[in-house]
Amino acid sequence: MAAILDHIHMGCANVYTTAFDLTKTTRIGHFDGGFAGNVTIGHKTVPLGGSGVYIEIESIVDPFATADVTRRPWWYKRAVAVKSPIFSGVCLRVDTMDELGEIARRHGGAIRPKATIRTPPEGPPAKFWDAPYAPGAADPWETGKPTWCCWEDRLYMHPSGQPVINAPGLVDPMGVAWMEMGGTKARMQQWLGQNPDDLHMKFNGKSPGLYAIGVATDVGEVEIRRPSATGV
Amino acid sequence: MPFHIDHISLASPHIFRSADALAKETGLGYWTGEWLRETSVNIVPLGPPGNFIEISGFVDIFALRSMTERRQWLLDITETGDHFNGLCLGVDSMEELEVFARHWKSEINRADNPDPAAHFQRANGYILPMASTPVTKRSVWMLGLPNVYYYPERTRHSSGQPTHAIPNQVRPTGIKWVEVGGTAQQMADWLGGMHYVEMLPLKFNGKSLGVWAVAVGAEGRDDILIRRPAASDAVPVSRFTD
Repeated sequence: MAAILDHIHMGCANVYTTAFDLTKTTRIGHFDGGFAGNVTIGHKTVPLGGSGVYIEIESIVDPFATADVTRRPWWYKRAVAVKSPIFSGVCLRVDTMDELGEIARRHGGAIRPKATIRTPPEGPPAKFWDAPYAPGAADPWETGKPTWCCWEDRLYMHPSGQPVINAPGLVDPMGVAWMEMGGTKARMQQWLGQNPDDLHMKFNGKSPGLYAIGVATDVGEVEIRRPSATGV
Repeated sequence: MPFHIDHISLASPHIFRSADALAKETGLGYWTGEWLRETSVNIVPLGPPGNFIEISGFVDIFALRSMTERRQWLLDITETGDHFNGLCLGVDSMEELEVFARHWKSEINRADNPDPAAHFQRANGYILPMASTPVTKRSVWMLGLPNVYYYPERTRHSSGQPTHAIPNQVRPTGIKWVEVGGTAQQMADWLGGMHYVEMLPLKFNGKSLGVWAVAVGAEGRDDILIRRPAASDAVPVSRFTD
């Protein structure tokens, strides 16, 4: 089965101001997704509706765990460098671990041995597996390439399905209508192994990465545009 | 209500991990509270008549490229983990707050400051108005001393907001007592009279100034004791004598 869009990562310096500004400008709500690991706040979550899509907003919170700057994620350094939240990556979703393993092998890698775990305030932890992974290899997102994930038996806890913080004037998001990507359709099709049209991708020919999304809402389409992982 | 304890600040190197740990330790729920520039607080309501612990810390380490005395203090007192770093008392009117301001020969941080960046803000856009005194060169918290607050919109007080539903959550019934350093006389000297001290459920341990423990009542179970070192245990108040 073809992969579908799962989440879009937005790296930034301050998850509070980033999430608040996004809600203020788009009227799309968010909620507190808790934390991940020792380094980052993961994630302020912005559910986008549709087939179960969300924006994951992340930043560093622990000044001691990241005193060694090499522990700071690449997307954090880039967001700070461009003085803006960035679209750091696109993660697609498959239904089974077999499909995820097949995708990993096609890219000469494996499924990341450790699941990505988010600890939401309510618990229990939300967990997904992702690919492709290879020890020592760069994160595909860093070069603007999407990755894939599988929530195994945790889709019922999917961040896109959780309630947002109530705020005045929120709209009802109804899915991602389009994604503006750098690069070309042919290169993307080669990486994905499926037609980018399935994912409503359009291409601007700039350096690879995600540049903008259009979100359908009950009051019309909302555009969210940020610098990408590789370009502005 | 009379002069009272309003809230207690617990400085943390990682407010999400600390809130999660405190919830598991005590069964007390918390909610994603407010933020102000590079810092944010997770709020642990403690029950009537409206008290809370704010778990506070940095959420934007980029801001630390520009270091201030206060930022350095917050870093120094959290390097070895959570420390209680503020006792926040409360009054019910501006008139009462002005009494304390006059005692300290101080101004008041006004609740109606038009600069949004001067206020704590919630995720739904609500800006929490609060007035406090004293206004000093450095926070009196750094000296292990309490300040005093007045909330004009107490119906939206941080202690009354719904918490995340945590496993095995208990219902808090209010602060039973707070253990602080120093002596009752030192506190009376700071507040302007022993009668103020007698209105507060404080226990004095004679150690360095600041909060050392909070006891909270809970429905259907023993009191909950939250014990953490005071900030002055990590950074002596003598560092700030100038």
